[in-house]
Amino acid sequence: MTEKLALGNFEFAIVTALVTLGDNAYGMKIRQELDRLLGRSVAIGAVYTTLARLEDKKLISSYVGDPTPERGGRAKRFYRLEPLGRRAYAATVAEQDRLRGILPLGAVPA
Amino acid sequence: MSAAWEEETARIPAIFAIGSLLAACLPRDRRDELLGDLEEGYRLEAAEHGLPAARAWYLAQILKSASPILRRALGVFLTDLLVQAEAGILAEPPMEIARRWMGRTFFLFATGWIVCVFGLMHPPALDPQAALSPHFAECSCWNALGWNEDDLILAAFGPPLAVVFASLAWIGFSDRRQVAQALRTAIFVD
Repeated sequence: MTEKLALGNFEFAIVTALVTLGDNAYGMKIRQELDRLLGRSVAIGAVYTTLARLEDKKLISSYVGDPTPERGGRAKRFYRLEPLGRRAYAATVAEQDRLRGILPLGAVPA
Repeated sequence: MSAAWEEETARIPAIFAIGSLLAACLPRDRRDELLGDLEEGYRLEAAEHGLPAARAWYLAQILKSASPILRRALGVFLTDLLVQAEAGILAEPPMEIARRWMGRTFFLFATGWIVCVFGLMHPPALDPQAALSPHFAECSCWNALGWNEDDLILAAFGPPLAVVFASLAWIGFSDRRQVAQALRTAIFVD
């Protein structure tokens, strides 16, 4: 049996945000980027839950940065994509492309 | 803006206290992450949309985050229990660990609700009669959240109910027989 690497919708959105943010991916920035990417407001709690799940699956990793004054002297936790996460991202894109090829967008009945 | 910001600065600790209460059951690093992100987001919202919108945003984020936070707290409790059990050094009985974690979680949740509803309101809100007055209903914080009068009534009765349930949970875990006896007396004798 092949390893299941495909990401869920929200997981995919979060991984996309990590890719676009690069080295500056931490909680609040990820939430803002998701707002921009998805065009709707996302609760920070939902972001943390998904980040924790992705971390458990070893698709991403995190490290604690330096404290900053605008955060009340608290440190940021930065997230980055791991090689397994990149493979999962690629597998999800391939899966979506395959599905799109089976039924083109215009062919969906109203 | 500066006068309003000064006034707001004086209220910031009260607003952030809600976050601190709800996040108190998280591990230290996760708590810092959540509170730091929310404080940063609060300042961004204030700069972009104004202070009332920022307050409403913070409140909404904290309330929406409550469920994952509580789930996480439950996860930490289970880990606490499993790690002790796996190591064969169950220093305290499982019910003791459950009571400690559940009691803490319920207490924080109930306290968070009280601070949410009354802590951010104008002083008249502390008076139950005034709590449902137009002054209370016109508070920009609730309006920004899109709450109507029914929601306000629910919010006013919510905290006492939360306290009752939290107290039952607290007492229930410390001595369930006592609560059962009290319920039997209340139902069958009275």
